[in-house]
This record gives sequence, C-alpha cells and structure tokens, in this order.
Amino acid sequence: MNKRFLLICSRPPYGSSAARDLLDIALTCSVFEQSVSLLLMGDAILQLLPEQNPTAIRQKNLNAIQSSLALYDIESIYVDAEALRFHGLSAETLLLKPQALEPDALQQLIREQDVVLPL
Amino acid sequence: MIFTLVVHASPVQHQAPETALRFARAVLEAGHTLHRVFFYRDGVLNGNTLVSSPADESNIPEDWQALAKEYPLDLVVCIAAAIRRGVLDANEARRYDKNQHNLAPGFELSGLGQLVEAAMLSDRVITFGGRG
Amino acid sequence: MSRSLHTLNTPPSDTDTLSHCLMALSEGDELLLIEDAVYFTLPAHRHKLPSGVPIHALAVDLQARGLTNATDISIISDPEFVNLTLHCNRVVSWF
Repeated sequence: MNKRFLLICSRPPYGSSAARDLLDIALTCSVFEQSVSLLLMGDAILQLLPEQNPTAIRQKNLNAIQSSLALYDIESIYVDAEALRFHGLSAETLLLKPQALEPDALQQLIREQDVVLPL
Repeated sequence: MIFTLVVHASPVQHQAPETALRFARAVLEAGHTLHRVFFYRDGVLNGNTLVSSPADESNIPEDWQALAKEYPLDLVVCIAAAIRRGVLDANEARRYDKNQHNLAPGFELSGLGQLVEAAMLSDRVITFGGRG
Repeated sequence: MSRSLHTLNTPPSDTDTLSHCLMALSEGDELLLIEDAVYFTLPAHRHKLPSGVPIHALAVDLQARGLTNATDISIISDPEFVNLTLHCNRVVSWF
C-alpha cells in the first residue's frame, strides 16, 4: 500500500528538536516505501542553509542527514516562497534544491496528499 | 472509519493531549475504529506513570489508561523520543543501565514505523500538537 | 472534490502560524478553531479569518475561555469535530 505523505515543518533548526524529529519521520516513511514530500514553511526554510556546523553546541549536523535524503528517494522538497522573501534567500542557494511554492501551488500540493503530518 | 491520532505535546504543559483524549472518546463512542494513538516528541510524557496530580486536578496519563480499559486501545509511545525524556519500560531500563522504569500500564514503546504503518492503514490521521 | 479540514490552536498574537494556515487553505476547505485559537472569535480578530471558507470553533474551548458571544461562526461539539474530519479528505493541524 502506497500513500502520499506530506510532512510540514515551520521551525528553524537547532533551537528545538523539530527539524531532526521531522527528518526521522521522513526517513521512516521511506523505509515503508511511502511517497513522502517535505514542505518547509516560515523559519523552517533555514534548515536548508549550507555550511552548518553545530559541533560546539553538541548537536548532530542536519546537513549530513539532509544529504542522505536522496538515498532514501526523498526528493520532493518544497519551501514557501514568502518565507524566502522574508529571509532574503533564494531557493538556489539552499541545500537539496527545494522548489519554491506560491500559495496556489502550495494548496495544490496539500490537495494531492493522503496524509499530512505537521510538526 | 479508521482513525489514528498523533500526540506531540506534554500532558501537563499543553492542552493538546486533553483535546486528543476527548476526540478519541468521541471517535470510539461514535462506533468508529481507533487504530492507534501514537505519542511523539513531548507527547511521550503522556505515558509516564509517575505523573502525579493534586486530587482536584485532572491526570491525563491516567485518563488515557482509563480509556484503554473501556475500549481496546493501542497506545504507542515513540521509543527514541521516550528514552531521551526518561520514559522507559523494563527492557529499556535494563538496556540503559537504569534501575527504574516508568512506562504506564496500557502503553507500549515502539518505533516511528508504528506511526507510518498506522497512517497507511487509517482513513484519517489527526495530529494534536503544541508549539515547541 | 478534495477537501481539507484545517485545525488551528494558536492565539491571534501568533501571526506566523495563522499566516501558514491561511496560505494552505484552499477554496472548499474548512477551518476549525480549537484551544487558544478560539480567541479569533473576538470582534477585534474576526476579520483576520478568511470569509470564503466555513469556520467552526469547539464549544468547550469557547466556554472555557468565557467567549460566549461568538457569532457568525459554527460552534461544534466533540462528536461534530469527528464528523467534520469524515466530511473532509484529510486533516491538517496548525500549531
């Protein structure tokens, strides 16, 4: 049985465990051979900034887990376009080459899902 | 219809687990199937049997256990989230060399696979979360 | 018709969570205010909610918070919350 899972996050990395907890669900969905997409909204787009180095705050580097997502066939990564503008970032400079969605496309993405898991 | 509920928030610090409990009861009373309640993040504290409340206050972990006595319920606590927060069963206590364990009766520790599997089998998956 | 039920549990001061919820709301979707989000029924905040979608609020949460004058909104019980999830294809929670 294959369902379409959408995982939604709006929290930045490191200040809370949200980013890591989200990735753990994503990897598990993939182990169960489910279609999984990630939608990073608001501050969650900051999870995709390159050159993170959280060694001194004794956390695992998210970039390392992110770079393994393709191995798990998790390649549908979306960010909200408004958040890019808010933070003055462009999708091309972020890891995983996310697709930027304006509200219409974001709503379409949600309508295509069987299960939405927010975090 | 088959439901799965996901609870992310602490039973003491946030209202969300109480909302989830009322929703669970309404699902069961309407004759639907509640396939599983999966506790993740601070939601794992719902499975802590040591949560204690003054006599005139509600005790959400006890309320889950009471519901599980009325109906057959699968209350699954994410094992990775639980051990980090000090919610252990006898096996995990042994594994991590702790001399106490506190997983409440009626709950079981298992992996995130139980969340994904439940979502695959359910018609509706509803998350009850709190900011954090 | 693919319809989502969106639940929101954050107070009006949390503008980010509201804006994410509104951004994700499609025409035909429904919005349910629970927990602290029932404060959106106060006159000062009511206009912040969309006009094109049905808006519901959980009765017990309104009652708990002394919000007895909510108008122009559907006030629902827990069993009706369950029915609302059945009437939609999926539930998206914003918190």
